[in-house]
Amino acid sequence: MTPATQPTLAWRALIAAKRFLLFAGLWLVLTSAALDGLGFGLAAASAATWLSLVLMPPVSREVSLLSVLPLVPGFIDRSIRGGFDVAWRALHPRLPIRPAWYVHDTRLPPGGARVALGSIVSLLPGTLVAGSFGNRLYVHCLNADAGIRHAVAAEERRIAGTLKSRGPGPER
Amino acid sequence: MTPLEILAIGILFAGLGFFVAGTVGMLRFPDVFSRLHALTKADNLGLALIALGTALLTADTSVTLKLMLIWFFVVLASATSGHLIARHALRSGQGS
Repeated sequence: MTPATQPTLAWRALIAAKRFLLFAGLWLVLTSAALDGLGFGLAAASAATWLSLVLMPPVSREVSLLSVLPLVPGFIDRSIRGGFDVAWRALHPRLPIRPAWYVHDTRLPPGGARVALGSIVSLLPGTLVAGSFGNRLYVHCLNADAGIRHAVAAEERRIAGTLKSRGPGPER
Repeated sequence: MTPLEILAIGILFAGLGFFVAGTVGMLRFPDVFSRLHALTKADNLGLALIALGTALLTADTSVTLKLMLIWFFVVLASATSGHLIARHALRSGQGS
């Protein structure tokens, strides 16, 4: 990956085109590709693209859709296990929960990587990220369990691994 | 009923079960954060199952695509609002 440089015009145009295609695709899905709506769709997708460029200007290290794709099966697997775990605890007559906090000092760089860690930990069975202050991630555990520390650390390593494979990432 | 319809109805009822569990969790769990566990996790899985069951009952691809979009946006909104509620509760001192 090339180091962050001043975004060129062509690159910005490419980002805009990608976003336009995304919005146009959404329009086609929502209208079942009705022919008499295409004109409105063109206008709506253009307006949405403009608004997205204003609200979320392109940054040089944009996460590509393809790089996220390998994470999808794990996401689904964790959602299912997380759903079963909390459903079982909610319905159990004795309510087997022991809420506790676990504060995790993360070594991931701020930004996308930390957001990814937070989202994944929130999907794991029994854990929910409530926020972060500086490098500290506040993880709420539905049932205090020594395994949580290892689970969070494992997810962190996995994310750090994908960062490294995409180029020279910050290391400490 | 075709086997596919029976499978779809089974999946729909499983989805309903997760919604019920999420709601029971919201009523029974002791604090804001524990309740968020119930609402974000159980309901997301419930909605995924209901979307899947409904998708099996339709032959229309555009309906399937719309169901996937609905699921995607609800999961996005629930994760975002869940995070905001948790962060606010943490900062206003309900965290201990």
